[in-house]
Amino acid sequence: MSSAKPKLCIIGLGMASMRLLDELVKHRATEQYDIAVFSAEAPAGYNRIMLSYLLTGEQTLASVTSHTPEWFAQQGIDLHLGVKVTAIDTTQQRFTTETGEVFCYDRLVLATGSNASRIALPGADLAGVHCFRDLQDVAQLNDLAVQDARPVMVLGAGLLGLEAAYGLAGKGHRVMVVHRSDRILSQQLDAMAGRLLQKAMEQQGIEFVLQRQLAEIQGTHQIEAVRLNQGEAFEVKALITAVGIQPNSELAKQAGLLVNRGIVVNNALETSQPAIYALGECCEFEQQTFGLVAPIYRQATILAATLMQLPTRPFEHQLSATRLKVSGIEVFSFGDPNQLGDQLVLQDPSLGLYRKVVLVDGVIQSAILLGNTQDANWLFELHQQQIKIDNSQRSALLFGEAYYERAAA
Amino acid sequence: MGRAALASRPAESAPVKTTCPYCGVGCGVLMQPKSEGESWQAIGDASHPANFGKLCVKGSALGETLDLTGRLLEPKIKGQTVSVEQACQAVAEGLSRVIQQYGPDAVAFYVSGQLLTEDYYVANKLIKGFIGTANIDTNSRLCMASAVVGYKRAFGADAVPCSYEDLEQADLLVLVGSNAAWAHPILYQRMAQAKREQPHKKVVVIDPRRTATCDLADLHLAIKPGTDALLFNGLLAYLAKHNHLDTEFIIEHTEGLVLALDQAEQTAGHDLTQLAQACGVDEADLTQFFDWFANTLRTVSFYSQGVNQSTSGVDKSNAIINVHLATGRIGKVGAGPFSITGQPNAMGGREVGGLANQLAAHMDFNQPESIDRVARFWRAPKMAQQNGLKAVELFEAVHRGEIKAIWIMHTNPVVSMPDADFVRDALQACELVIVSDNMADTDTTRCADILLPAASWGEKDGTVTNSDRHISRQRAFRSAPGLAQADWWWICQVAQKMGFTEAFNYQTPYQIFMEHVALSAFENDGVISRRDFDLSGLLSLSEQDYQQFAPTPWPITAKQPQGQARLFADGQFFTANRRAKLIPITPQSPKETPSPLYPFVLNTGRYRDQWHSMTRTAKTPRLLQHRDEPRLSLHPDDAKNLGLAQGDLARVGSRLAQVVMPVELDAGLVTGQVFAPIHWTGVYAKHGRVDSLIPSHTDPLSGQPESKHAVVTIQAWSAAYRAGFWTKDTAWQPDDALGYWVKVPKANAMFWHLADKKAFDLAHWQSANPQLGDPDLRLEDSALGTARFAWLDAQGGLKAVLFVAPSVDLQAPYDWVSGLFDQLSLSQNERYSLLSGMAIEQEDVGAIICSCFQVGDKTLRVAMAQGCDTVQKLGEKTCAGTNCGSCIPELKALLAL
Repeated sequence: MSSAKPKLCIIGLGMASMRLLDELVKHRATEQYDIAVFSAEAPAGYNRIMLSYLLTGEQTLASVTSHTPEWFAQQGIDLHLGVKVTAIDTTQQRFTTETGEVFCYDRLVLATGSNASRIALPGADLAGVHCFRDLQDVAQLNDLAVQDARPVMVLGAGLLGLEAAYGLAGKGHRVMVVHRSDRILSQQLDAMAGRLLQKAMEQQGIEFVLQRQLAEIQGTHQIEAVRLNQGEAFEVKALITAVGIQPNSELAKQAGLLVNRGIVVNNALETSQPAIYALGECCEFEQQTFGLVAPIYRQATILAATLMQLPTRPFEHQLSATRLKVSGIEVFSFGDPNQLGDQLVLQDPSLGLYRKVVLVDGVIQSAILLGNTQDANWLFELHQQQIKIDNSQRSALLFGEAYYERAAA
Repeated sequence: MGRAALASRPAESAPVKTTCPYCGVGCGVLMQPKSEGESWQAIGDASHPANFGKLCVKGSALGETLDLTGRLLEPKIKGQTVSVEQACQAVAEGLSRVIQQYGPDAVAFYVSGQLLTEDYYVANKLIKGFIGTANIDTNSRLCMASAVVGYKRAFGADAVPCSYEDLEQADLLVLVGSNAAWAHPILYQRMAQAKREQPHKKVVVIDPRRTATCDLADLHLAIKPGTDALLFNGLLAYLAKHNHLDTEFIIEHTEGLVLALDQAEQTAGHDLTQLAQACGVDEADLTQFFDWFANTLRTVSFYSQGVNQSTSGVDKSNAIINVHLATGRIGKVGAGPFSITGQPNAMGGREVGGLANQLAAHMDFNQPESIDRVARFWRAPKMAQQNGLKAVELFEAVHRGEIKAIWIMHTNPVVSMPDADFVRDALQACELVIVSDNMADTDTTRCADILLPAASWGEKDGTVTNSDRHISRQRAFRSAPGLAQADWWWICQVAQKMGFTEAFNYQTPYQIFMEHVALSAFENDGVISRRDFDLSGLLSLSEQDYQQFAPTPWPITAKQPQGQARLFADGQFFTANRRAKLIPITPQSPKETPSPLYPFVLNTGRYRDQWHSMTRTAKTPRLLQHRDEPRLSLHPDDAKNLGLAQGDLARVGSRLAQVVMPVELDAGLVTGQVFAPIHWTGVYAKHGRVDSLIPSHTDPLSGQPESKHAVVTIQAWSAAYRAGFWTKDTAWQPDDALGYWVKVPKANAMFWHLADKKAFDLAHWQSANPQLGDPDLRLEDSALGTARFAWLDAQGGLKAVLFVAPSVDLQAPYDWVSGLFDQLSLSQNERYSLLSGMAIEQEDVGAIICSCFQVGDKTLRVAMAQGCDTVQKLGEKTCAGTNCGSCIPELKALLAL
């Protein structure tokens, strides 16, 4: 190991890290750096978005693993799996792992991701209370006995909660989703879309209890029952909490980096310490943290260029679109789902179709597409380019580009 | 295997020759049975002298109007179905009771130009000879009563002098108050054809409106409403002044010229400048018309409801007849004053005496010997002795409670009478209202105590007479549905139950027709009396001859068994001294004049594709394509002043009532004048009964109402929304609170124009229409206020569609929506088309695999076929999997197939 190349270390191997690696490979970064990746999880780089499909068994770990140990070997990148970094010494530019090993770096990238928010209730640490964030969670949920007729309760009907619910229902569990708001996926959907998606999921056997919060967890070692804030009580065999994520910034904090909720970065993804960068769900830019892939992928592109001393645009906030498939139903959304303005609505529940586009002063501010998300990108581009929509073409927006063009004719 | 045998086709049945049930042209129609099921195709009868094989759009669509939807199939008393026996008994007892209690004058019949001559004959016989009152009038009163009196005053008989051939032979056609292009399309076509062949012919149209008929005109005189008589008085004076009178004819065959001319000169003989001004026309145009008239011997004046529907309609027709008598242009080829009737058998009604001021067979109550003659012929026990009440008076008497029982046959007075709301009120209060109709729900059947199901056109047999006196057969080509029966049959049943068994013991229409023939010939030998209406040439007509009777113009005598196309060739008229009379005419203004309160003059009339109150024409969607709702035609300048644009809803109010209809801009109107169609009823429109606006001023001589001249006020009816609603549910009705609706039958659905002053609210709509439930398809634009909803059935076919918009174009380009109703289920593209109003075939990319880039499996398969065999290559080619990567497993799976 007598290479003269500077050492680039990356802590974490999630969606952000993998995209950064792809970008670096594209720039032939291994010719310039010795690159090493440290992942606390044992398996190699898998697609976390696919967790629910792993749970149902629709996909296998192999099929969702894009960055295998062989890939790392081929690229000439050191891979340290199951290695948890516990401390960073910024003055010496080195860090220590759980097992006491010490590694030096010339550039350090923190891509430590996030942790599920914990619920602050007695009993939150009982057996049978899970998160749904990683392969370990999947493994534990896989052990739940299907023949146990008691429901699995999922707390939170956001993206993760719904994915977990879908995965569990697919395994044959009775699933009950408890959600604080009056609609599911309330960050992304309006009331109608929420209702439609809920209906579709209910048809797959998933039950919903809306406008409720968890009040009590009962059980001695193992969770046995829960009580909701309106008094309803349910015997459950497990509780999955999916009430949000928190940037995993503990390591950076201990190292003396500037941390608020996440590791504070500037528009070049630099932290408060020289030679240390952060991206992904662990970082915080202009008081905002991240949970969707789109901005994180932009960060990866920018950071890769920065590391390679290539010209690049600074990172900035952009409205991000959410695209996902919940229970096989395509969902696309950007902007405030409850945006006020000129509302355009298209609905065809028998096709599972719902579309809403909201314009303010003729410019698209937000959109929700449910069912058929064809035309989603086109709508998003119209928004990003702030195209002023002519009145004669407005309602055609809902039907997609071909209709929109025809309406102009 | 034996040889395959071809299924033999059933022999084509021969078409049935009959006569069109619409306007007074009386075209011959061949009803050709179509192989599949109970359907017929209407074809023009090439052998019929009215149309020689041509048919107008209404006639061509006759085969489409035969379905039984909405037909009255059983007799009803107070809404309860009863037997035929019970119904006849109830009518007979009801009439007898009223006669016994209040006398015969407490009974009235209100009949129709749609009745066949045989029906008319027995109705007239029953009431005038056996009940003992002449209170029988017909809806022809609204149409040509003035023309009848005009002819009688001039010729001593209600005798139309001309034949349709004269229209083609004339060198100058003067169309007065006629929109023949729409109201009498086949005659218009004949005139147009003649003009094409001989372009020297001149056509002058005299009409306050520039109508479709003006397409044919060399000159259009848009006279001020009601100045027809002034114009023709002026013409008479002009002709005299310029020595264009036929002195010889005047001396030999007329009387009254001096007084008539004197009156004409006094009222209209001033200089042409003044006359032109008084008539509201250009002086040069006026002079041109007078000059053409003066110098064209072959001149036909063709006049219709624009002349008749007036408080001085009789005078107007005589003003026209005067100029023909003064120039001897009558009884000659291509010349004569030619009144055209509006109904298929208005003329037949006149022949039997079906008007209150007629007796029978062109005899009148003013001659006691006529009354006696008819009484003897009928062996009438209780002969009426004087004229009865004419339509307007008749309904006034009903309203006053003097008429206690009225039998309405085949007509819809609650729609067609002036002051129609008054008529409705009168009927609602009347003790006994009997209505014979073939439709179950009309504005008038809604007022009935007893309903009798009448056979309809195509189901009944008899004769009709058209506007040029041709008697033609109407023949049945199918049997009457349910318990429907011919009108003559119902009348005879009732008459027999009233005790008049022998006099009404007819078994066939032939028997009735032969009695009608006999009456026309009875003591009509030129010695005892000489009457124009003479069918003596048919006295020995056999039943088979009757069945095969070919169209023949009366009079039909032994001398002229083929009838007589043109009358008065010998200059002999039916007055006592055989001379035609010129009548001194004092032009009268219409009764109502515009005022600041009612500044507009409302003219009414027909649309091209509709007929009367639409009971038949609304049965075929084809005839509703031309206009599917009643519109207020308004000059663009007036519209601008009122703040109205094309398609906006306007409220039209007279002192009697108000209607609401969309505006149609029409530069062919003179400012201050508006036009609306007569057809829409309370069944088809919430506020479309135009005749409710018309005051019941009548001509003192003819009793015909001034339906073409009412004064009205117009305002914008500000709708918060307009909507189109299609539904498969033909029984659907809008809720009562809705401000505006028009019902339009379509091929596969019922369509409704809807509007209201309150903003559209889906929740309110749903609560008013709970059977529909949540809409399955929805498109809403909150800022534009537009929305589209569709409700689907279990198969995904359309149940209902609702389009809402703040305003709607007049010709809603939405006919394709109705077409979607015949599909069992709608494809995604069709659903999009329905909601977007655009038909676009979207590329089918297949099931979406890559959500981020919207790449479908069909696109991926194409890429694979082109050599993409790895995830990476697929990504490079289609972008699939290159963003979030969630679809990579699916891409792999696809590649592994």
